[in-house]
Amino acid sequence: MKREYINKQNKTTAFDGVLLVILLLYTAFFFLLLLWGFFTALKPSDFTITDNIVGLPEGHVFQWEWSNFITAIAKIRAPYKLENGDAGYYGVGRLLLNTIIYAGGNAFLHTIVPCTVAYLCVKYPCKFSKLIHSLVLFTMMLPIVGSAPSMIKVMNSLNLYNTLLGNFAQNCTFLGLYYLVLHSLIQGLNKELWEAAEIDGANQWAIYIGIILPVMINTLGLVFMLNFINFWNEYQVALLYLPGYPTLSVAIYLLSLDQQPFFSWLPGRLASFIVFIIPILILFLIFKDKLMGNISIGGVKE
Amino acid sequence: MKRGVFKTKSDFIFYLLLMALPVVQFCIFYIYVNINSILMAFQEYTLTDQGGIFTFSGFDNFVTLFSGDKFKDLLVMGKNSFIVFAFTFFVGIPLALCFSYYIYRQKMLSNVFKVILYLPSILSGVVVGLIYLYFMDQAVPGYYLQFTGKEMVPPFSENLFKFSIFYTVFFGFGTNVLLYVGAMSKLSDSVMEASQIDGANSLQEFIFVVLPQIFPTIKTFMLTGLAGLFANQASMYTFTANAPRSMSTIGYYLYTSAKSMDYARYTELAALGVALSIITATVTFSIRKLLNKIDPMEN
Repeated sequence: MKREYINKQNKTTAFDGVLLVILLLYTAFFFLLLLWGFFTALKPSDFTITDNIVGLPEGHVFQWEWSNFITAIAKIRAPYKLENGDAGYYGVGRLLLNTIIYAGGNAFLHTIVPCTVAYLCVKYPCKFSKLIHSLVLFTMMLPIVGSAPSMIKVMNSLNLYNTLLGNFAQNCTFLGLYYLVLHSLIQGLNKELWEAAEIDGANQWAIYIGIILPVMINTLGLVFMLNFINFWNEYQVALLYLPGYPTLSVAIYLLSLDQQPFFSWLPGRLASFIVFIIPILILFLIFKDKLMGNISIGGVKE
Repeated sequence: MKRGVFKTKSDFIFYLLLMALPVVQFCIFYIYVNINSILMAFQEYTLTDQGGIFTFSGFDNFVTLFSGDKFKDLLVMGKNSFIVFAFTFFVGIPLALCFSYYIYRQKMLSNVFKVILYLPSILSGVVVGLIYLYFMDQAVPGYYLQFTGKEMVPPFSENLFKFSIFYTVFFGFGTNVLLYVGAMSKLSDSVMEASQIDGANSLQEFIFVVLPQIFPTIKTFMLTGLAGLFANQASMYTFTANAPRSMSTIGYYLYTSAKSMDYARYTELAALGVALSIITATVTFSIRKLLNKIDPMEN
């Protein structure tokens, strides 16, 4: 983004000053929230709200309740209810497994399906491909309100409700922003890539899997990561369609209903929150340049 | 299908096989679900000895929804949905654009702010939302007591709606900022230099040069935001599963009702969904026409 004119236009105006103040206030508030949450998580489990709600934990840093994080991991649980009537609680191990399957599986589908359809639409620009492309744009603008009851009814009738297969089937879609991102990227690829392979006698499967996907691996990795983070954090769809396979995010949301004494206290809940966001925070810090790289949605202009 | 597009039969089979699953998925989970939703709007659910069945009931669901106390509740929730939309549209989008412009021009701490603005969309909404709730309800009264010596009633519960709007706008910049910055980075150097030569200051450049050129991107976000008018919960479900109707939005009501797993209510919800979809579609397409007319890039 380095442009010569930016270097010339570097004097700070009143407009810049106002934006700087607003952004500083925003940053301060956001960090205040997170720091307050972190330090409150380190207070004793029998902490009450009238006792040092705003300050640092008492005592030396090694006397703070770091064990709250371990206890949170050990005690976190979520109720499950399967279609065969089985019900109970899952602990952290099963919740983590459910989360990895849910987030990983759905992220993979949300990446590979739009990519495949976008590639087909670019490589074979027939009328059907153009229809598919128009459908993506149309559905982004077309508001569909209140289809959840119908979705639940349909999934029940197909015996897919409250099943991982049903959830994956729901997310096996090409609709959405990432189709446009990947479509734009594939349009920009050099067509000689696959034409040369065709001349060499490679079939279409070999071209797609052996040439196209590897060339796009950076963007696909980025899209996968963004989807993974989204599904890791997502809880409302899981609560609605997968009550038998609660994820860590669902467990975090349900903490306020958990009868265990540890979670009825604020430090216990906040310790669980902090533990939950650590993996995503680490992922973000490692890949933040890629995650925040320029995303473009070329092809949105009609 | 134009056979000319497919050089060989194996090309066509390749296309067919890879396109089949996504198209079938679309037909079932988009087309069939939405057609079923429209059908459910004209049905009622009755429990019989053989289990529950859906039977045709004409416009009964619409009559029930648009009369009496239910309609009054819907009007209140609809008003709340519009208020949330107005804040995200008239406050959130302009702020996101201003922040994006600041980051695009690489002003002081712009890289830091880019990370901070994006972080809420990376971190769990449940975590950030609940920390925000506990902070407002417990830490704020605590700070108030510390600084003034006076007690303060926890503000969140009484002002759930206002705090939800603030949270939705404040933590909703996320990917929008990145996409606006991405659009700005594609602006022509020569146009920007020309504005500088003409003596435009940063505010003038922003309003008269940058915004018109990225209007297609802004238009996309405006229209997708408008399309989600009645689906927006303003993050309220994160804060409570039992918000009073006076503070709920339509989106919140639809989700909590669907979650109740009460099939008897599903037909009414379907009717509500159909009615709102028609209203929103009409408004969205009208606004789209208007935005296309005023789009500086189209003209």
